Amino acid sequence: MLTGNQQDQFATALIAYLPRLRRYATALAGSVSVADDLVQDCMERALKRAETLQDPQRMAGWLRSILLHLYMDMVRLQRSRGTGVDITQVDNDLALSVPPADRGATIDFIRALDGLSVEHRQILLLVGLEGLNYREIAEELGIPMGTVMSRLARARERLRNALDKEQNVNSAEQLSARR
Amino acid sequence: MTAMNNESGINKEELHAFIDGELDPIRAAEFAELVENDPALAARVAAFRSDKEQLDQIYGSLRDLPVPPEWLQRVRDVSVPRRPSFSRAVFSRPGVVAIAASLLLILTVNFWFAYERFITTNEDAVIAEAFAARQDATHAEQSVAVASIVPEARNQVLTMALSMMLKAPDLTRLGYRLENIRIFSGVPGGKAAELAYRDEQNRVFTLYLRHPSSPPRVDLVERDGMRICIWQDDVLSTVMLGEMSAGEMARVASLAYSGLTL
Repeated sequence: MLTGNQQDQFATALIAYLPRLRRYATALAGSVSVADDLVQDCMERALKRAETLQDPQRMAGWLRSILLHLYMDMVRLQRSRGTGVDITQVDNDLALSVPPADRGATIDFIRALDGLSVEHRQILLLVGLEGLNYREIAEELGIPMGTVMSRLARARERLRNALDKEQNVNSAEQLSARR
Repeated sequence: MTAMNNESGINKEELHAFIDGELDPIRAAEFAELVENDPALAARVAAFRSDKEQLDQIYGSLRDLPVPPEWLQRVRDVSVPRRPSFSRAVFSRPGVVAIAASLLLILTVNFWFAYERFITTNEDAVIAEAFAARQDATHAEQSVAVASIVPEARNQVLTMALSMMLKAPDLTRLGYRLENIRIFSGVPGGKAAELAYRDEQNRVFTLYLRHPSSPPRVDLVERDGMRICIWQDDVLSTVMLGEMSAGEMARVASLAYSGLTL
């Protein structure tokens, strides 16, 4: 049971981290609306289990971990029901935040990222968006540094391959449209 | 596990460690040379770097999306059910503006009297606390870098700490930008908050807030080149510190005090 003071500290830290958690969730899930549901569930779970957070300095990783579990549960449920997020809607949500000239490339990027496994998306986001170093990622995920490095290398290679494919498809489409 | 690039003897893991700045300086320098002399490798590095930048470009700004107020309220409701929250509605905006307008006159009249009392009485614990906080002589229970949170979250941090509806004042009109909020405990009324602002000349203005422990007052004094404004009512005690003229302090203090009201 947290003391009043600890409870206040916990709440303040949670509030301070919510914008970043929402961004992480959006990138992970590829959808603003899905991310908002995830963050709200994550917030509720965190508030219920506040006393299980051993080290307040690790709140960010703790919240990301709760959120990832919630996301995995959601993905499993969607698979079992045969439903999923409408990728077109997802692309549009995020593409609207960039200048019109960049929207095509943004949509390609979002699609390529969404096509990766959750594990690969997660490690790309931890490095590229959350700004964690390899040691911090190894600690957060409970894996050796070597695994962090090889997983990251594979994730980036797959993302690049997917982007190359998207670009090839776009070039072919443009070529046929000209004919 | 380690995949090698046949052409240059570089393994993929190291390539990405190079991109992320995770190699030790000697190995990084070797890598930089290899990249410089190998156009194909340089193109790969550029492509991976571009992908990393694009990730940040697309999603980075999402951090600035305002957090729905109901989320903040939910955290607050769950975390502080034991304390009633009350608004500082006792100070209506027109009332605050009227007080602010007459502040300079009152302060000028009261200056010498206030200074005398300040140096001869023992009722200025809150000023001593504000100085200690500004000079890092007190350990902050929490420190929140403002750049990392949205305005609603800043307000919520203050509201949580002092258990009353408060807003982090916007002083940009007078050239001061909010940089940091720190929370202190173990003071009369429970907790205190210090908001640190900085202007383009690198001058720092601090606003220290806590529950009052002495009667309402409005004073402006100067000590060792530091202008001190204490503005206190029945609900909130504020101490504002900055190296500035009395006139400037009166303007900044008025804006800060009126800006605390949600």
